[in-house]
This record gives sequence, structure tokens and C-alpha cells, in this order.
Amino acid sequence: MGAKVRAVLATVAGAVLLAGCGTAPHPFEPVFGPGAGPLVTRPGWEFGYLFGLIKNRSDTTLTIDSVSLRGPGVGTVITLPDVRIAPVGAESISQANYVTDPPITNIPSGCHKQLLEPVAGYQLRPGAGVRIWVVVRARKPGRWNIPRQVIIYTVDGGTYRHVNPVRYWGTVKTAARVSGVVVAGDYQPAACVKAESSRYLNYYHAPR
Amino acid sequence: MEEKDRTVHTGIKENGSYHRWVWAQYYFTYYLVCICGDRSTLTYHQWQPDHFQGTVADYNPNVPKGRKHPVGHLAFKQPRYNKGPNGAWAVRIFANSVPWVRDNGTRQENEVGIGFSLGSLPHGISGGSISLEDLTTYGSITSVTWTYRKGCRRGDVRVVWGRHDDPVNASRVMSSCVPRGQG
Repeated sequence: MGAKVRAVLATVAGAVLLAGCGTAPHPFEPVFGPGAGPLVTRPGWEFGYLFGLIKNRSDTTLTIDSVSLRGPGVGTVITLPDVRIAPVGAESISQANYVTDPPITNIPSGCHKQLLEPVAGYQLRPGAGVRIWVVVRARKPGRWNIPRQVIIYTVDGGTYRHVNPVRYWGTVKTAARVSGVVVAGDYQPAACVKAESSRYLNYYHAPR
Repeated sequence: MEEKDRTVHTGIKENGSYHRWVWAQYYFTYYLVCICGDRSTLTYHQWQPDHFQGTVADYNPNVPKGRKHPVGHLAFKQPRYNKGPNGAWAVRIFANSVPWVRDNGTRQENEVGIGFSLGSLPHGISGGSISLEDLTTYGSITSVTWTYRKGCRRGDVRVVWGRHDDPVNASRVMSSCVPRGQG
């Protein structure tokens, strides 16, 4: 029992020490750890991700300098041919995987396209939110993992780093079972792809 | 209660509406805590979780003697689905989507009252000054994956959604089949 008593006392002491450590306030709304995976695909194929949320809860406009998506297999197993800012607002669509670039959707009110902006220099106003649009292109067999989004931003003359716990992962296999047919009645029909000046990602296509 | 990553296969498979608390079973140890000084000594008893017992279930195993219902049962009425402005409060899961996951992050706590705490104590221990935290916490040690399945009505779409909030930071996340126009 003596050892257990000491253990409890040590825990109490530890809690007191932790309570004394402050954390610097940061301007982004915290998110739970969302992710999407595993993607199982073949070399040459592409896939789009529109997930996560970066929301400015401060009263100052931030400038996003870069978004870093690094991890095992990035650059070797896969490449990221398109990484852009997707503002959440009047010209946004729901979070999902998309097989067109820009991502588009077809709902009863018609075709809708997600507005995409370059990452560098994007101005994130107070209260505004964005998602990151990421196109993954499979390059060679293997595993890959992007455990987080790292956002470098500038505010009031200082440059800071924000780690957003949004993750993506997958496997590239030569013999992976994938279908490129975007079925009729789906959310990304050929008519919308054309009307919205979008394109299917490799090797997705309308039924022939 | 515990700050340690664990992965446990629950074997829980449900179709249709499913709103249940998930219970992780822990072995508790009853401590005598002594804060001993030269001039004064403070002693008290305290229950502490000792170790995880390897079981996760979606029923509350703590049914006290003389009662029919588990202590701490909380009903949950799912709110009406609202996709939000431009679908901002929903994640759509298509047939070709990869599974969508949400795990850890901040906590959602629910006050469930003193009865919950006492009822959660091992059999034979009750009342008095003994109590556990009268809060339940979920979200911090759980991970849930949503994978596309057939079964929605024709023309419906599967969505994972938060109530008036983005699913990435909503305190509760729900999933539904909804008409395509609402997805």
C-alpha cells in the first residue's frame, strides 16, 4: 500500500506542475483529429481530398505563406500535383473525396464548383475558414502517410507555424482494384465537368 | 481518466440508427492516501483506475442490485439534420470515397450526476464520500471510422455531420442517409 500511496502523491505533484505551464494563444479554431484513408490505388492514378478546417478565430487577418504536407512516401510513392486553398463560404461545397479538379458537385439546384485559391499569400480574415484541396498522384508501389497539415502564416509582422491534425494515408499497388467509371447519377457527372471547366483526375471518366 | 493510446476491436456491428454509450472496463483500486506531516496528518480513501481490462462494450454492465436499469444511462435524441451553409456541416461519403476518420482532439464532457458516479463503483461499495468524477468524457480516447456502405434509399446520400457545426470540430458527430438535395 505504501508504494501506491507514493504513486498517488507523485501524480498529484505532477498535476500541479503541469497546471503551471501556460500555452500561447493561437488564432485557429481547434479541430478534432480527422483523417481520410486508406486510399488503395494504382500507379498513375489521382485522387482528390477536400477535408479539414482552418478557421481564424482571432480579430486579425492572417496571411498564409505555405502549407506543408510531408510524411513517409510523399515525393516517392506519391506526389501532390495540386495543393490549394478552398475557402468556406458562398463558393464552397461539402467536404468529401472528389475525382475532378477543381472539385465539383451536382445537386438539384445545379452544378457547383469549389473556389480554389493559391496557398501563398492567401488572406484569412477574422471569422473566415478554409479547407485544403489536395490532389494525390500515385507514383510507384508502396505506402505513404501524411500525418498532419503544417501551415506557415504571418500576422502582425511575425511568422508562425500551426499544426493542423488532418491526416491522409494510403497504399499504391500495381494490382489494386480501382474503377475509373464515375457512375451516372453520381455527384460529378460529365455535364457538370464540362460546364464548370473542370477535369477528371487520372484515370476517372464518364461511362463510355 | 487515462492518457494512453489503445486499440481494441469491439466487434460491435450495427445497422440503422445507433446511439449508445461505449463502455471501457477498468479495474479500480481503493487507495488509502496519507499526506503525512510532522504536525498534522491527512488521510483519506480514494478509488483510482488501475488498468484497462481489455473489454469495450456498448451496454452498461453496472446494474446495481435492486434496480432494473443500468446506472448512468443517458437517452440521446438525434437532432434534425441540417447540412449548413453550402454543406459546411457535412462530410459526404461517396461510393468511391476512402473511409473518413475522426479521433482524439479536445473533449466533450457530460455531467451525469452523482448517481452515475456511485453506480459505477464496484459492487458492495456505495454512498458516503466516495465518488468518481461525475463527468463522462468521450472523444479524447476514441477513434471512429465511417466507411461507405450500400443501403441508402435510391437517390439518397450518406453524410457524416455535426449539429450546426463542422464535423471536424463538432462535439458530437452523427451519420445519416439524406435526400440528395440535402446532402
